[in-house]
Amino acid sequence: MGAYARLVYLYQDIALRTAYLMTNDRQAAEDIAQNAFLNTLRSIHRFDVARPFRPWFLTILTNEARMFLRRQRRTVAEALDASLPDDDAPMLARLIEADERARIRAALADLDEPYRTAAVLYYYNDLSVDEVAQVTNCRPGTVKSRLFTARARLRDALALGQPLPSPASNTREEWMALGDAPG
Amino acid sequence: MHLDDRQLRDKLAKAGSDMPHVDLWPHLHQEAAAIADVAQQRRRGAGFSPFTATRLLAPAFALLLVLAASLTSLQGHEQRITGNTPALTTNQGDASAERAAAYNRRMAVGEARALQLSASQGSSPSDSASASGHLTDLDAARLAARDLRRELGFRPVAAQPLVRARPGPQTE
Repeated sequence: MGAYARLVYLYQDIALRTAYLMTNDRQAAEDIAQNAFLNTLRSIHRFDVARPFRPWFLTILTNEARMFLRRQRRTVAEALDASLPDDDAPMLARLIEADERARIRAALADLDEPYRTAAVLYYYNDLSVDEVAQVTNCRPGTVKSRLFTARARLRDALALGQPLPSPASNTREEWMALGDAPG
Repeated sequence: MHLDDRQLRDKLAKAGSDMPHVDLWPHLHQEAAAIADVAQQRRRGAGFSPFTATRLLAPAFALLLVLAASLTSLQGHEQRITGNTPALTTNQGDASAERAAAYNRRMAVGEARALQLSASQGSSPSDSASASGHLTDLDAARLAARDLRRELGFRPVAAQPLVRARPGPQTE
């Protein structure tokens, strides 16, 4: 099982993070990644070693994630991250960063599953349009259309919450200007 | 708010980084070992035993006998009608023997090539990697997948090299 352990160590972070972005749920991401690795072992005889492993593995992983989403139907977006990094950054700045990351995941979770899968595979896993088409079993033109829609929706969703001025560098006047129109 | 592809990649990478590192191997290794055992047992069970061979080949052999008997009977019938012997000359017999010998030689060469290929695929991943001096994560995954197939008893399918050779430093 040495080769299998190597595969797991090479791909476990990719698997966990991809599943996390697709589900916005850490526990689900762990379950999905584990099932994906077990299914990889079950179907390794179908893997063509002349082709790249990454798209093949991501096909299995995204199928697992899709099945989870079908069961779940609706995921609850995390409002704030509970485990913040312990560094010297000011508390408010860390909260803002965590909030922004949570907003991105929430915006992804609001996308319908095909658009979300295409966005995660293309923007997070750096697959080409053709590879995304192969993984999701559709035409490259469909993938392009999904990516276009996903990008537009993410842009709209993220534009609703513009980043606040940095608490460390802004003066009282800058903060006041956010709420007060100039007189 | 304008978001180009690079910004979207950065944002997704940031959002994904909130997933902490989890070592999945302790959760996987027992079930994986069980699955591997079942796969290997199936492979062994699916072997081509002499009993299976006899059972499958017996009807074909019987059919062949019937055909040969019919052919002999037809030839005898033709001889009775025309009074000629069948047109099988010594030269034609030699030609068919030569064709058979050539075929056997080609088969021997093919088997030798197959053996050579399997021997080269039997080399360890570290050998292949050190031969090229470079091994990316993507290649490492393919090598690991290939090794896993071999560990489970599935025959190798790829004939082309798995590791891309990187051009060495230019010398004057």
